[in-house]
Amino acid sequence: MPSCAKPTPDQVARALAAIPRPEQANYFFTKLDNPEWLEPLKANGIFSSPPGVEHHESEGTISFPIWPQGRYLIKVAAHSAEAALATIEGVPSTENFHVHQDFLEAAIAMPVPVAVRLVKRALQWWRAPYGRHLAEAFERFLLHLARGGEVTAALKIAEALLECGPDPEAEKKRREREEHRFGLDSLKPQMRTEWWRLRNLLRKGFPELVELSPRASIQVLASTLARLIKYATWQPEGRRPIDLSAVWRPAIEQNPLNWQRDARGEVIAALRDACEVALRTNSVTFDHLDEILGGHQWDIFERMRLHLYRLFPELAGERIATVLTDRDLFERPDLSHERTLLLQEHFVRLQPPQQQTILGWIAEGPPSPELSWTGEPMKDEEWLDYVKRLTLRQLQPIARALPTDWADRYRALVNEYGEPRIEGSRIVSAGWQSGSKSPKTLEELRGMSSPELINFMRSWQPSTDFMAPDQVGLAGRFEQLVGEEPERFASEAGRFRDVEPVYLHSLVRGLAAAVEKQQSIAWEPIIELCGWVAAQPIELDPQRPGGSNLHENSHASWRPTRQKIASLLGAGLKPRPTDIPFTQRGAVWSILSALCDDKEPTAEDEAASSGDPATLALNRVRGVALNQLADYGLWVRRHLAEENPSAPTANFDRMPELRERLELHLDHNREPTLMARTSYGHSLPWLHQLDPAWTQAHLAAIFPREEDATAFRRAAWVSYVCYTRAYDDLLPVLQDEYRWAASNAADDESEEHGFAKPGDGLADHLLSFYWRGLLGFDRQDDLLVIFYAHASDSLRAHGMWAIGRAFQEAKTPPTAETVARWQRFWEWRFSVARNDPSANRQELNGFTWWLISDRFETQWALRQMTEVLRVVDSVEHETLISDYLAKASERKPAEAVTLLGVLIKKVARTRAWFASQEETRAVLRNAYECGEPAAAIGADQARDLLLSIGYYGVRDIGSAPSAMPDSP
Amino acid sequence: MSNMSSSGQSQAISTADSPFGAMAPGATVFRWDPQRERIYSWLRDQGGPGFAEAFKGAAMLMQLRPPAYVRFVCHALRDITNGLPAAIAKEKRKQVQYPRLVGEILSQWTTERLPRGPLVVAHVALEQHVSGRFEEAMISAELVEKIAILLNEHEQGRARGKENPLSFLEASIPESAGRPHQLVIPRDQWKALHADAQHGAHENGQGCDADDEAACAELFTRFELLLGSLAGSYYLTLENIDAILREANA
Repeated sequence: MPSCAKPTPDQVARALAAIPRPEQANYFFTKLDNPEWLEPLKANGIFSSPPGVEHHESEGTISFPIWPQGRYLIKVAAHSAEAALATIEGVPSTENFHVHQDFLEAAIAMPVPVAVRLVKRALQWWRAPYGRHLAEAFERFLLHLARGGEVTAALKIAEALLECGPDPEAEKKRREREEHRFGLDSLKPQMRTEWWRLRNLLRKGFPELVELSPRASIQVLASTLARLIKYATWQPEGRRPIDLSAVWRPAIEQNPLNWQRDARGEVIAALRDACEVALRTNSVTFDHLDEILGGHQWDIFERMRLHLYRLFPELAGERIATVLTDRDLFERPDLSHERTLLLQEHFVRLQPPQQQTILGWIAEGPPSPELSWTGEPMKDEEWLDYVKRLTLRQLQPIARALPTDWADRYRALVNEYGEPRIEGSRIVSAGWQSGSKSPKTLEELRGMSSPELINFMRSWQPSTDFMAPDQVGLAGRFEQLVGEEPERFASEAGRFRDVEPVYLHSLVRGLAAAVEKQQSIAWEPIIELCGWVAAQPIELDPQRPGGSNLHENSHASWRPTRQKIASLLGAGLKPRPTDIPFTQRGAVWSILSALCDDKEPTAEDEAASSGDPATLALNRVRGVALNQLADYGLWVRRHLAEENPSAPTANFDRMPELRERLELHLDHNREPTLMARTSYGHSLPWLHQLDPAWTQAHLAAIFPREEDATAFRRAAWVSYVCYTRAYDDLLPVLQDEYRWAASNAADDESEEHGFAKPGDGLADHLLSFYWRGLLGFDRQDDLLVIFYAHASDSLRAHGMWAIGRAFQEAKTPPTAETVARWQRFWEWRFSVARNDPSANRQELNGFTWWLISDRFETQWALRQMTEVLRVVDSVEHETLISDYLAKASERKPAEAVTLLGVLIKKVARTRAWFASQEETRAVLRNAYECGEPAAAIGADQARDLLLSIGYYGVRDIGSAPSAMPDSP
Repeated sequence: MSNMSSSGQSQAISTADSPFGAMAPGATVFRWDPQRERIYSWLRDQGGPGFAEAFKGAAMLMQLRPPAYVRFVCHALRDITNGLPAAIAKEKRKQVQYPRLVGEILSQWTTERLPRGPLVVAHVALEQHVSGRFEEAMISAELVEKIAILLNEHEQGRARGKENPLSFLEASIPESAGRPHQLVIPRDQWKALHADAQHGAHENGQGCDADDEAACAELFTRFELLLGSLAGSYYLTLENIDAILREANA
């Protein structure tokens, strides 16, 4: 604040006359530094109308306008605190947190004795409906007060920031709990501060408060923790409160077992640290802490005390012996972690009688239950075993300090059960490990020959211990090895017949991956092994040797292996130098045929499945096998042509086995699944290529038109249109199907098709045909006209995107004819869509993709985009447009800057201008520098619009406007 | 206004080039700049040529300072600040027709031979044509209706006067539409301009002194600042604000 000259009334009046627009006011108040202006401005009512919360009913949103006057108040506060305070106190109330944020910033800028007078009012801001957004500012306000000696006021704010209330759904959850006799959902206390914000406050701001006022700070934290637990806990009436903290907070100290991240955990850590700091600096005594922590009944506070006693034994004194010899504490399992740690460190210092007391309780053992946890009568030997294990665990922490007789007893138990595993912490809590473990490393497997591997696979018995190495783990490592040495394992494939299917599955998987990478392998042994698997009964005998040890039951049948075999064959049938030798035709067909006969899924299985038919086909043996049939046909035709190049191209007459199989699965009675139809859909172009006559003759079967067979028709169609490209020769063949789909385009988005989007697929096909000149839109019965009459806005937008992307990705520039054809198309769509811009918003905005493809004449594209933006009610992809404009403005500066102006005007109504400053400046610069008067006027206008929304980074471009521009 | 602009666009226009046409004897140049041009164009486009011409004339008078120019300038500004809101808000400017309404009442009053002075008990008792109790006078329903019309029109006129600046400002500052808190400053400034212009337009026979002239110059500056800020270029507006800030923060 460099100046303190009082303004004249004329100066103030002139200033206010110059800032009627909000951004002008913003600019003025942001740059006004003189605190002497405060009173005259106040007298002019400048602080009498703070903005409220704006509710945008139609968009379902709310906004909180900034208040430029508030920014000025912040600056004034540092120099004229009393005046700023009086002004703030005189501002009418509002729920707009931005206004309150400015007030808080002003308070932080004030000297503390003045700022503290705002605390009462500030707490009202915090408790206002949107006050929680002020947490960060409150945190700084709190520290400002505390550092200035107003610790009590700071603690009041701290308490407010840590306020919490009950779960708003507590009553509903309670009813559910009573109905189901258990809690379906845990209670979630409501805090006004977000968890991550709370964490920041507790870790960064609070420690300073603790230093300044340790006892009161600890009290605030303890009360907060008690409330959090109360609101998070189902507390049965008439019983001692149980917080179950051992479950959600296994250790008070920092410990990886404390996996849960929530407000309770943060408050516990803050309370622990506060107590530790306070004890370390002698700011509090254990008398104080016993009073504070002992005032709450929850276990966590008892655990906190035990933790602190352990860390500060000199200060704790006799308290340690007292708690360790408290039978009640000894028997409370929730205190076990902290009590055991305390016992471990301090047992040795106890008096012998005290030690004997504890050992006596251990010797006594727990009371014997009548029933085991499974509900069966407890057997004596089982109970004895349990007690001995428990005794072992109880003695282990104090093993080194045990009297002789107890030490002998302990050693005997160790001899019987082994040394208990201790991993740093006494607590062995729930933990998990993902994946399965292999008993052998990859390195070890590499060193084994195939017979050794097979021998190990057959002889090794996995342990039943939790998370012990298992067969799946070994199979995974084996698959890696196969991937490294496919040739070796392909040639020795036959040797692996006798291993468990889980290993064979890995062998086939590893080989299939190698084939996909076009690695050469010996096919004959593999085909022979696959044939052997295909001939086996699908279900395995669970009583077979080794079969019961499977980690999971997914390999309890040959199906996973059979499915992988179908994939392996598919990979081997592809036209690659490493494909399956044609001599294997019979064997390959025999395997494929067997796999196609797999009984799963039945129609009932399919109905019960949650997936769509095409996805199901990828996960079932029969589905995967059917998907390979077309590849089989192409493989046969390719090799027949190689054998006899002069012979006519082979059709199904030369592969009757394929024709028979295809017709079999078109028989509704023998193949009732939709899954099978998806294979015909996505194989259709290849089937048509193999035998057009057969395909056309069977179209009615592939796409049945009977009303009760619509689902079959849809399954085949969705698969066709989503997973194949548009082939010209199929357009006339599938004319009726395309027409049917176009008429139903509106349904395609409402139906569930898994990942498939048939509407998008249809749009892609039809627009591809249009691209190639095979379709038009001149007649009412043209496919495109039908499609666009039925398609939703988002579907039409997909079409716009697809065309734009196709232009963008085209490796060579499209011909003039193609460009002209698409311009005609756009003009058609625009003429239709502009009549109802809100219903066609997405499609119209989709022109952006055309624009940025840069394949159209620049002036035409810029003008079209400008027209689009003039009619649409909201803009999408504005940054794409502005980025493109920088480039386009080098060629067409006037049109580019006009579009920029329209774009800014449209965007600025609803949101900030996020486009790159560099690109925006480039458009303006090019417009000013090109020498065209129209471009300069457009630039003036665009620059003005940018300045009007506070985008001052363009103020230095160009010069002062010299003429009145036309309205945009 | 123009001396606050650092745009360098202000220029002297010779009589021959003047957009005002023929000039008064002795006057040779006018200062005219893009901001004034914008205000002129904006007034013409938004309110109508009459407002634009009134501004043009006022600017000319401020430059030439002929006798009684303060009154004429204030008259022009008063008419603009009074009439422009309705014109921009596309509302028909409706003024209360006091002469007609009062004339109709007077006519009816006379027809009913009602007294024109205060009711005097003794006098009323002797008047044959005045009836009723001593402290009351009976008037016809027709006269009541005419009086009620006058009162209603007066009340509505006042309400229009209050509303006009807001709706006009919402039209002129579309980004503030629906945000009344953002219109507080311009609304109050507009009202202040109108009040000051109205005050300055009143001639009491004593003529204008130096203070009146200074007040008029200040009023015109504020008027141009406000209109200039509404009329267009943010670029130029920011220069004006910068000039004010330089002075304020100096």
